[in-house]
Amino acid sequence: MSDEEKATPPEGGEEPQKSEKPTPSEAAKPDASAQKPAPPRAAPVDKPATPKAPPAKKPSITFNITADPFIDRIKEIFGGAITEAVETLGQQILRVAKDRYVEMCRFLHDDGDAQFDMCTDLTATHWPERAGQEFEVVLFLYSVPNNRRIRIKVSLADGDECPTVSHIWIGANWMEREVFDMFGVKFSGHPDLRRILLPEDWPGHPLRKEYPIEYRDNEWTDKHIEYREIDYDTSLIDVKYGERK
Amino acid sequence: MLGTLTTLMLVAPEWVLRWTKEPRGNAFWAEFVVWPLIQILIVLFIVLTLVAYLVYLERKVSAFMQARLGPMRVGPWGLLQPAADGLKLLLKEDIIPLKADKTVFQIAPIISVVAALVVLAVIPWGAAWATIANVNIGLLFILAVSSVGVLGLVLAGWASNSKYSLLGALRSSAQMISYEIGMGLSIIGALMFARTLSMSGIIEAQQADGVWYVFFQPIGFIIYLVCALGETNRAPFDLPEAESELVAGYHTEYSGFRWALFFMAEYTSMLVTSAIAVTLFLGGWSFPGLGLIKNQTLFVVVSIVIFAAKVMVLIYLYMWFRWTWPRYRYDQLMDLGWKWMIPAGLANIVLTGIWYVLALPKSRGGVFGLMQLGLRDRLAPTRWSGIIYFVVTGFVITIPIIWLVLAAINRRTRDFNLHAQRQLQIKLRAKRLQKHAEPQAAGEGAS
Amino acid sequence: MREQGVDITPGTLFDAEEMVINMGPQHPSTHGVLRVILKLDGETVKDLDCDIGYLHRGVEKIAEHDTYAMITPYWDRLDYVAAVSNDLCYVGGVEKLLGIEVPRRAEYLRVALTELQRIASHLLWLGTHAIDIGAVTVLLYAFREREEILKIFEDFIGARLTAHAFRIGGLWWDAYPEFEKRVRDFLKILPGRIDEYETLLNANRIWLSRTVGIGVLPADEAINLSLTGPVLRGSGVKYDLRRAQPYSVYPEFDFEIPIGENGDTYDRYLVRMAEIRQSIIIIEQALDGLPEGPVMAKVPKVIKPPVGEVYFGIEAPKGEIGVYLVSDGTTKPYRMRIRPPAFINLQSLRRLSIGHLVADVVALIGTIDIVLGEVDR
Repeated sequence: MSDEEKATPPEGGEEPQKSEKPTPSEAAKPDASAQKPAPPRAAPVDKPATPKAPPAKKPSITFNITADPFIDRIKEIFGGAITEAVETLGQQILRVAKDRYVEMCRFLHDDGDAQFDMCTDLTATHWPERAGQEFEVVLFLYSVPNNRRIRIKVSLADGDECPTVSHIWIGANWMEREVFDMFGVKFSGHPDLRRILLPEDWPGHPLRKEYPIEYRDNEWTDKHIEYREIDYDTSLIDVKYGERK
Repeated sequence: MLGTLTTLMLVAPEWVLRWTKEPRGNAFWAEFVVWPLIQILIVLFIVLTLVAYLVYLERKVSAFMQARLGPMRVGPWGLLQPAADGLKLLLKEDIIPLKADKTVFQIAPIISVVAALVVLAVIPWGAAWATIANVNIGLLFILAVSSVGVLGLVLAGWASNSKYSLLGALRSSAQMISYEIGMGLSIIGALMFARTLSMSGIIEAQQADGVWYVFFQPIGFIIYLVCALGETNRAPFDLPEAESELVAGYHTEYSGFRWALFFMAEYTSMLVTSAIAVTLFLGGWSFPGLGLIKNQTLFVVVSIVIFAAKVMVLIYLYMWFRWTWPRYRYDQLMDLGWKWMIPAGLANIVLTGIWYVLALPKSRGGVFGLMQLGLRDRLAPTRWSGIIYFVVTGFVITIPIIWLVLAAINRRTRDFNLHAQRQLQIKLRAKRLQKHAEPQAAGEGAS
Repeated sequence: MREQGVDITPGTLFDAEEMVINMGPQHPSTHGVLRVILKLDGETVKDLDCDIGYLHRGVEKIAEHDTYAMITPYWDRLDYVAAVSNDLCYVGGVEKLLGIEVPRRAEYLRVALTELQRIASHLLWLGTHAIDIGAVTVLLYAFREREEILKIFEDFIGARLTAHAFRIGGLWWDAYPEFEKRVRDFLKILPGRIDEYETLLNANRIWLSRTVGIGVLPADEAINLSLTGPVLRGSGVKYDLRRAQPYSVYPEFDFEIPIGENGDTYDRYLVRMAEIRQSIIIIEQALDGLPEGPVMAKVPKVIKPPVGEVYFGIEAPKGEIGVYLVSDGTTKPYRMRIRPPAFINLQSLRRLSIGHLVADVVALIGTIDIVLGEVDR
């Protein structure tokens, strides 16, 4: 995957960005209203279909990092494993191959120049239409001594296990658990990979794009809520949850 | 009217006698059953009402300390709040957990409240007939009975079959036992002067000496106060029911009136411990100038008021502590009990004994006039030399020595090594002051 | 209390047995619906596990289906005791993505409001932390002052708690006429009131014995645990986003970053108290230098950021709250990640608590300063 492609999430419509922006409110209104009823329930492919991002290059936002000795050094050490080194809005992003991900994290943590001693955040994004690279684990690192941030990305196929970094930064422990909970990305070597926010037996992983937004899991609720028969005339009440038998 | 009151109190047994139509000479039922029952009812009524209003007082005191109003809705200034609360608690469902030991669960609050209430019998509420039962081992009786109260808490915690309750019960049993030791030690010093265990006798001894024993026994009084706080599970020693840790401790699973019984027991024992402190150290119902009142009935009534006032001062102190201080941790509480209170109590006994014995040979049969208190002669003139001797030894010599003893015992844990922390605060403060000073200086320069 | 199936034999009867106790989700001092499962030996904590998620609303999922402007109110409900700070984070992130320059007056007002919010949040923390340790009265004193801040908010923004203070591009309203005077009046009384709390707590023997040396966290460990905010600064790490990677107009203000030395509960308390004082200084400066002008930048009616991604973090009262926005060029974010400071700080509870007593766990939950709305999102 090249640098340019990285910033263009999914293939979509060819609507140019420039023409949309200065359009007055009349153009905006129908757009907003067209979007609003769009997120209906149980429409798994709804969201990924909508993006109208131009696949064209956006050099104003994404460009290769030039003249940064540290990044150059990393490129030198990890060579082909670094598939991308871009700076967007003043924030540096490196994409690394999965097999050298942990090695690179260890390097960033230990190296005297880097000293990325804090894992600010760890999250993931889901790109269903990128075949073979559906998930992207994003690691936000911060170096307290150097006051510098860097973002590391790893692309994973659906079902791939991502190596854990929770032994390098203990703080990544819960963040990886949350990614597992929300995306179903497994972290190999994680000491305690359980769901963190949702119940253990919850079906599905909510932040995947195919997971619908308006969704009520009646089966799960049935399993966990104790029903008690109450004598009342059900014809008078609009029973929504009671259809069990 | 006052006269009628005395007549009533003194003649009432006669009336009871007549009413029961017992033949003269067989006054057993009247004197030992019916009349005591009436007395008990009167005292219980007054005390329980008082307890209800102590809750009200506590809420008001805390409210005023916390810049708010407290109960204001039920009645004027919320004065009927206790009645409303009592009614609510009576009408509430009495929930017993499914897995609880039902019998013990039901009995436990009763044990607790009975132990607290029985003690009321021997407390000298005032002079003459206001003392219900003048038992000659009054104080011993109080200490013995009130320690039964802990049984109620332990049983409650155990029978609830809940972990929080169990932890609360364990804490309370350990705490009450350790603090009872300190409490027992603290009163011995005062008893050396009183030479009696009768509650009325202790008051009379203080009258005879012409001094409250708090002046002879400052350390004893302080230890007693601290231990009484621990004994009654009041803040800062309210660990058994520490709500931020154990939800509600031993009474987590209780509801309705059973819960109210625990509450009642707590406030009653607060009242009792304050009453003991007043009796032992603050001269009971006696007060300088009380003897000037010639009317016997008025004398008794005023004595009751004085006693109540002194008790209230102590109770206010309890409330003040509660709303000012954070809560001790369990191990720190034990530390305080065993490494501060008990050594101090022991040292106090030894030192008081030494001062006492030193004073003894000087005038056998009347050590500084103080040996007269064995005679209980109220008219004997006070020997100022004796009083000054014991006050000086109590304050000037005993306190530093005990301070040294405690410092030696707790030399490792006495300080928090706050030097480092304080430095941060001082630095920040200096910067703050500097910052405040600079703009002013700049402003002056500009003008 | 034995686990099921454990035999009581003379051999095991007197062994140190562990008791598993469940603290929460309904518990007076877990600050919401945090559930902590404690494994106790006597009262000493052997192990601890946090069970969170009782308040999970799926904000990140909802955000993928809402337009950029519609998401802002959800941020108020994350850390609901510091809603204004959350708003600043999200709004700042979107502005950075869009490349919008916010008018200076709006920035100054934002700083003033955010710092007021920081004071309010720290006051609430102080009160609840004190009540956890047993000092009840401090809570009511702290709430008295917090109430003043909330009143100022109510008159400015229209809401007290979930303020929805900022809009993308600036502020919806300009400051009302008496705003400056009211804030100044409040700032005049506040230092005296803080002194009042400190007289109640700072030199209090019981307070000291409950906080000094409890939950000590060395600096390197705190960094490795990804802690931010006063918890990190209490350990002596001078990391404050307002200075480290300044946003808004913070570089124009003169203030200190208080840090602790020992990294215990007492130091974290001191740091927060000192932060309140620093916030006062910042607000005074913001009011002094409040420029005239508009409070709203020119923002397109339909907010449609270009394709790209941005991370924007600010120093919220609890720590670094951040937003990671991935835009696919539509009116809705493709992915919005909230970097929740309380969630990540809460992770350290296990490390802090083991070996301490149950009572200390309560104090430590307090000292981390969590809000479950943000932990569970």
